[in-house]
Amino acid sequence: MLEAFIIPVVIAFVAEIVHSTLTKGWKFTLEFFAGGFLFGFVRELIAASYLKQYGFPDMPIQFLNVPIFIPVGWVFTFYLAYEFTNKIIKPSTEANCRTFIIFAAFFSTCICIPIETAAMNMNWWWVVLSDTSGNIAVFHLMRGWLYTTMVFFYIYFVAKKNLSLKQLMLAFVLVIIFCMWELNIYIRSFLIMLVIFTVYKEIAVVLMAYAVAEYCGMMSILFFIPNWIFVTILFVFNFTFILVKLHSREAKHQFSTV
Amino acid sequence: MKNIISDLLLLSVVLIFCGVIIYVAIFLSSIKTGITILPLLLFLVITYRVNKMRRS
Repeated sequence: MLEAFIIPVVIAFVAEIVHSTLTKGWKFTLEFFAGGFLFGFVRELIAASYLKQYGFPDMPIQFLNVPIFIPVGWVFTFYLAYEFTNKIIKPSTEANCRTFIIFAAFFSTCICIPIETAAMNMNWWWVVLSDTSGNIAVFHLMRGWLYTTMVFFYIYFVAKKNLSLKQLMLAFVLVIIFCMWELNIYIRSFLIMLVIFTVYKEIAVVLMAYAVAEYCGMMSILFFIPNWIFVTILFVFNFTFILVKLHSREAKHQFSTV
Repeated sequence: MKNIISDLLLLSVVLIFCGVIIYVAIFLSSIKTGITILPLLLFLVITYRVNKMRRS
């Protein structure tokens, strides 16, 4: 049954490369797909070597314990996120780039829940945190997809010079926060987020919302709050954020034209 | 013409993804699995609306 995952991934990946080549040329395609694959591979290598919270026992073609199809899956998500977010907001200025990164990360959470739910129910891969009792993947996975996409696009935009080099520092701080989350150090990570809030409010608000959800998720074991409630709350937050942001941008645009 | 082809290609990628999820939902007789694609569809609707407004 693993073919039901691998074959569509390969077909969709080829379609993405054709699309990218037709619309943006070979240079962009090579940079984006090679960079995305390398980033996804390193991310999975770290996860497989140190975190060990999930595994892919039956996946074919593995290199250093990382199945090749998983980084391909990451590039698949990054490209779709890039294309669809680009239709909402253009990464033309630094402020737009930061909003773009948040929207793209939200898009990846939209991909995350269906594919993780399907994968866990079909035993394509296993996760320590998996709770398929409600047939929906655990909401903790949304943070992993969120921060992976955020860090990738930060590095990508710095490399493409859409963001200044000092923004790489923020990407580094984000990696530290996400490592703290993986180690369940939420309270101290809040202090770093408060520092970020003084400079980049939007990103800090998103991080805080996810950290609060994670923290409540840990506590939910005591109160038996079902997983689907957290998934729904996070999606409501994501879409509210997008709509508020788009509305404020529209209002600013109308104000400037008047 | 080029825009239409590129939009169709991108749409086909999303359809392949949704197809996998719907296949699993039908295979497992799990409506909840099928419902998980709703946030993705909502994101695409927002994309379509914003893009349409921008063009107009």
